[in-house]
Amino acid sequence: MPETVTPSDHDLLRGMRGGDEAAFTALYRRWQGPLFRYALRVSGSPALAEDVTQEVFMALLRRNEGYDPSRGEVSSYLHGIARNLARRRIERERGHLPLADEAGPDDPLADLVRRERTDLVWEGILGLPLHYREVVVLCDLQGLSYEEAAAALACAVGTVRSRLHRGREQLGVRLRSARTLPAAEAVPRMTR
Amino acid sequence: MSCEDFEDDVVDLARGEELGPAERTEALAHAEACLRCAARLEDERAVTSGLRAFAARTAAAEAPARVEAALRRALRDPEGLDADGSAAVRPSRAGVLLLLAAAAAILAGIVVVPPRVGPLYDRAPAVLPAGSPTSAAVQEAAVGAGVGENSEFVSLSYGEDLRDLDSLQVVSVELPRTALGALGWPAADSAQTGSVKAEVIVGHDGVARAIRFVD
Repeated sequence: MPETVTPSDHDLLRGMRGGDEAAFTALYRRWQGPLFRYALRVSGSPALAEDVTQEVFMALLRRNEGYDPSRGEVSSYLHGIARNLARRRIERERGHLPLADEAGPDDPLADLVRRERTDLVWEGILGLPLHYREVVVLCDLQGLSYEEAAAALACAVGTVRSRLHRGREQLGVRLRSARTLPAAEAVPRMTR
Repeated sequence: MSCEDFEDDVVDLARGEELGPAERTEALAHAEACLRCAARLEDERAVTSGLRAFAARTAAAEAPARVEAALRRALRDPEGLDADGSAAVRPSRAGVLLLLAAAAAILAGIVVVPPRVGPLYDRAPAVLPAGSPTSAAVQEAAVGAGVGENSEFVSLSYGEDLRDLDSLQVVSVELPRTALGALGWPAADSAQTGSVKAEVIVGHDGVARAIRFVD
C-alpha cells in the first residue's frame, strides 16, 4: 500500500500560486482556523476576523513572491500577514469594531463570542496595549514559539520575550484585581 | 539562582515551554526556598491556566464557509482581482461599517468640540485633511493650517501611525503651568502661576495624539 505523503505548507503555497485549486483548498483548510482565531482573539470581532482571514488568502493569491523560507515557517508568514491586517483594522476602527451582536441568534460563533466576551480573561486580553496583546495571543493562545512569533512580528526574540512578560504581568494584575483568577489546574494543551 | 534570575525565567517556567531541564530544576529549587518567588510562580501559573482554558474554549472558532467559497471564485477568476484583490470577493461587512464609522467620524470632527483645558485663544480649530500625515507631515499640515511654529509636536500616543486616523484637528488650548509635570515636561516651579499656550492634535475620537507649546 503506497504511503501517503502530506504536502508541506510550502508545497501547497507554491501549488496555489500556480493556480492549483486543490493546493489552495488544502492550504486554506489547514490555516483558516488558526488565522481566524488569531484575528478573533486579538480583536474580539468575528466580522474583523472573517475579513482578515479572507484578506490573508487574497494577499497570497496576489503575491508571486513574498514567502522566503529562510526567514521562517509558513505559520509565521501567514500569522505575520494576519497580524498586519488585523493591526491596521484595530487601530483604524478603534471603538467601532463590530461585535457578535450583529449576527443572528442561531449563529454558534456569535453565541460563542457573546458568551466569551463576558469572560474576564478575554476582556483582560483585549484591554492590553496592542503590542503586548499580539504577543500574548501569538504565544499563549496560538501556540507559536518565541522564534515563530518573532518572525511573524518582524522583531527580535528578546522583544517577544519582554513583551510577553509585560503583557502577562498586566493581564495578571487585571485578573487578580477582578478576583477571578482561576486556580492553577490541569487544562487542555493549547491548540492553534 | 537569584530572585532576579528567577524573574527572568518565571514566565517560561509557568508556561512549561522554552526552558531547558537544568534551568527548570534550578528555578523550581529557588521557588521552594523563596516564598516571594513561589507566590510569583503561582500567579504566573494561574495566568497560564486562565489563558489555556480560554484558548480551549475558543479553539473551535473558524471562518464561515462563505469565505472559502469567495476565495475559490477569486482563484478561478484571477481577472476579477483588482490591484488590492478585493473586487472579486464579497463586500466586507466590517468594511461597510468602517465607511459608516468614517462618515460619522468626519461629522464628529465638524460638530464635536474636543475636550479643552482652559479657553481657546484666538483661532478656531483647524481641520487637517483626512488621511494626512506622517509625524513630519502633521507638523507641516499644522503649520499650513496657520497655527504656531515655535516648537515641534511631541507624540502622546505610543507607536500609533497618525496616517491611519480618519481625520485630525489642531486645537489651540491654554494649560495651567502646573499641568506641565503631568504631561511629562519638566515640572514647573510650583511658585509659577499663569498658563502656557499649546496646540494639541486630536483624533476624531477626541483623544489627544500630539502636543506642542507655542510660547
